[in-house]
Amino acid sequence: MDATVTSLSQARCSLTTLAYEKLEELIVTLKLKPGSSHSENNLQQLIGIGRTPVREALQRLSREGLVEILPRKGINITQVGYEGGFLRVELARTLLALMARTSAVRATPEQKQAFADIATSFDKIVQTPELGLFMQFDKVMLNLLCEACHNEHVCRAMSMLASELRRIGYLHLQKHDDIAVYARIRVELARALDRGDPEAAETIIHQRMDYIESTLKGRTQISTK
Amino acid sequence: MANPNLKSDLSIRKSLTTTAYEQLEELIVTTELEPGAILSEATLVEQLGIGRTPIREALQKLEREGLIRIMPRKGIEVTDLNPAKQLLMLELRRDLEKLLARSSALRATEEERSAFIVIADAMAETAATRNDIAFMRQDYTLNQLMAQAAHNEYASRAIGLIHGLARRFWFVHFETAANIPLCSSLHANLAREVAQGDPETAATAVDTLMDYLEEFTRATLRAPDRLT
Repeated sequence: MDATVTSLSQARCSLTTLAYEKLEELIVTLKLKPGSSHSENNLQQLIGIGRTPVREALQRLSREGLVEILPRKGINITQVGYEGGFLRVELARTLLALMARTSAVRATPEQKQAFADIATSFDKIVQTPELGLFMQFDKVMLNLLCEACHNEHVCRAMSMLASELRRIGYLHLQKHDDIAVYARIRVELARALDRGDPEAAETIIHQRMDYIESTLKGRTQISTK
Repeated sequence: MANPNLKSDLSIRKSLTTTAYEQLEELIVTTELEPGAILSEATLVEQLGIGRTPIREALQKLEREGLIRIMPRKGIEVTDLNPAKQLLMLELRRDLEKLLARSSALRATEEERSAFIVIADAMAETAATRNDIAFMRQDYTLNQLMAQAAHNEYASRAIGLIHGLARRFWFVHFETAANIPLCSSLHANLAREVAQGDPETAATAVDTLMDYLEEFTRATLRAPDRLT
């Protein structure tokens, strides 16, 4: 393979990841509104990245259910998938419980330190709730869990549903004032992982998922009134 | 955008991607494309007679399933058959299968419960006849049925991500390391428990089966490879 082709394909690979991260952030934080339509061109200009990486990023977002690619018409941002919410949480509970349990046992000393640091960051949000920061730390925490569990298979499965759950979480937190509750759960999880306690870490995941299920139920009751 | 052929072009490309994926998956799972082999996109395009874009999309799917690794500078590597990695896959599989078994026990329709009974009877027969081809077919059917009866599309998709790795490992090692009668009867037991509708006994049946599969995976470290 010649050198130019090689470095081009390497650059493209990381541009695809960058395009994915930028678009995901815009969709999860509702800057690209559910139900809105866009042209590929628009999205390229919006994030300042070219056609091929944007197209590959859109394919991944489409697999994760955040966009719908309509041939000849453009890109639709999907409506928030509340109807699949409980089933997503059911799977997320299984995956996160496994990630938490194994991370508590397998985290390296550096990863434990990172959990201690993120616990401090979330603790600041408990004191002074701030949605934007919370979402950023939440992403960092998820990436940390992925590394610390040392199981790529679990991470791949989790990445398929994490973004839509984050979007549902963002929408909830915009309308309710329980950012501190969400942040406190993460403080406790990060501390359990830092001290290497698998049972405690798993228990906190179940509390977190029970809480999310209760907010989903609350929402269903409101909408059927 | 105004090109009237674009839509049909896209649907043709879609099916070409599926064809490319199915052919490559089969070649990898049956180790015609050997673990550790380095492939080039250009060679695959030539061998399969399918264009570059569908091949590339198929390769991305195979990468998500852990069967290949796309290395920017070196080409495409078929992942190796590493028992340690296989045990990590089983760690995930155990929890996913338990979720599917519990959900299926609770949510399966009457038709799906009957289908579980049929497959349980067939698996019990295979346990007696030791027919490994029959076992592989029934295993495939049971996987499909479980993914359907759990009525959770996200969980079905998640387990779909690891089926290829599981099948390849089995294909390479079953002759030397597997106990087909035991494995069949453990599957039969699982199918019957799911049909009965008790989520906890169904989950226990998964644990017993996964314990066996872990033992099988460890046994491959001691048994010689089927391939030389």
